[in-house]
Amino acid sequence: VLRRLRAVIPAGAAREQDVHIPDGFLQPQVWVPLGAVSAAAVGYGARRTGRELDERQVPLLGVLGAFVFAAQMLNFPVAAGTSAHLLGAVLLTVLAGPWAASVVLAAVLVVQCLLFMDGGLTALGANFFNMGLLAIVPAALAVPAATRRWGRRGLLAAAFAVSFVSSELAAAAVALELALSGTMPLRPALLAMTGFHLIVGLGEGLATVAVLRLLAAARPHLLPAGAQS
Amino acid sequence: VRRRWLAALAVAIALGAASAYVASVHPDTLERTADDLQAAGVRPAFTPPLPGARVPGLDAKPGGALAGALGVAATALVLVVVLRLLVRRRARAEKPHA
Repeated sequence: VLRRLRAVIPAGAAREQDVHIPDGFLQPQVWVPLGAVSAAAVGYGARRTGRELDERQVPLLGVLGAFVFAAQMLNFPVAAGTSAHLLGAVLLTVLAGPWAASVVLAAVLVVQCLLFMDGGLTALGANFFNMGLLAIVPAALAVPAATRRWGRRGLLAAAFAVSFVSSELAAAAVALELALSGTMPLRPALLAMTGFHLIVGLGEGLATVAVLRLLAAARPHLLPAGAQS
Repeated sequence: VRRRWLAALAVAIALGAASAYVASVHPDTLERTADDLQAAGVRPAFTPPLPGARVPGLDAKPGGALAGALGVAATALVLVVVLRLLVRRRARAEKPHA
């Protein structure tokens, strides 16, 4: 499978499967609407966070954001000379809820962009859409439902499944946006990104479950109600 | 409690710093393509203070470790400031009704 993937991936593409899109990759007809959608989502998320957040939760969210930032720097080898990093959006949604998760992830992406230029300024909205919204929305829908029905097991199973699916969604979205911008042809970009993200998604799912299990053992009160015991 | 949060933050900062030593060194697909595009005239929107997640003037690994630690600390700081502002704004809005 890897050999076939490498055959259809453009030269240089079989390296790191990152989903941070830099400047110059997206055309305005792609980044402007994605930027508007993301700005609206973060704005609404900030409003709801301000309304619902307890001041005592502020350090928790600061530390969660710091860990997600650190996790996104830890690239791990995937296969065939490629590497990838975790996204962390599903974990954030489970622990902080979708509104706070959107604010935390937006802060992580803004700092990465402004400090390191990891992800372009014009692509900031697209990057939030791919790595944030496409994980936060399914996690906010599936994880609470599974937790209500099956308790902690449901939480872990849903977190794993959504982590895997959201990683694939992010990869497919990047490929689609690059193709719509005329940067890469759709088929090889889609095959490259989603093919390697099958492994990345498994890593994302396993890491999310590992952290949640660790918290279940050490700090169960941080898990959502219904999964604390 | 504050000490516990600071300890957790210190662990995150250490992870960010360690990334320079333990993270996979394979270049990024999109970064690589970005380099190709730069050769064709496309430039980033601005020059960041820590380009390539590295402190300029330092060797790759120490420079990367310091940049990682700074990035993690900056994220925590930004979040604490923004979230405190959001919470206080709500508190101010609620005051006249109290």
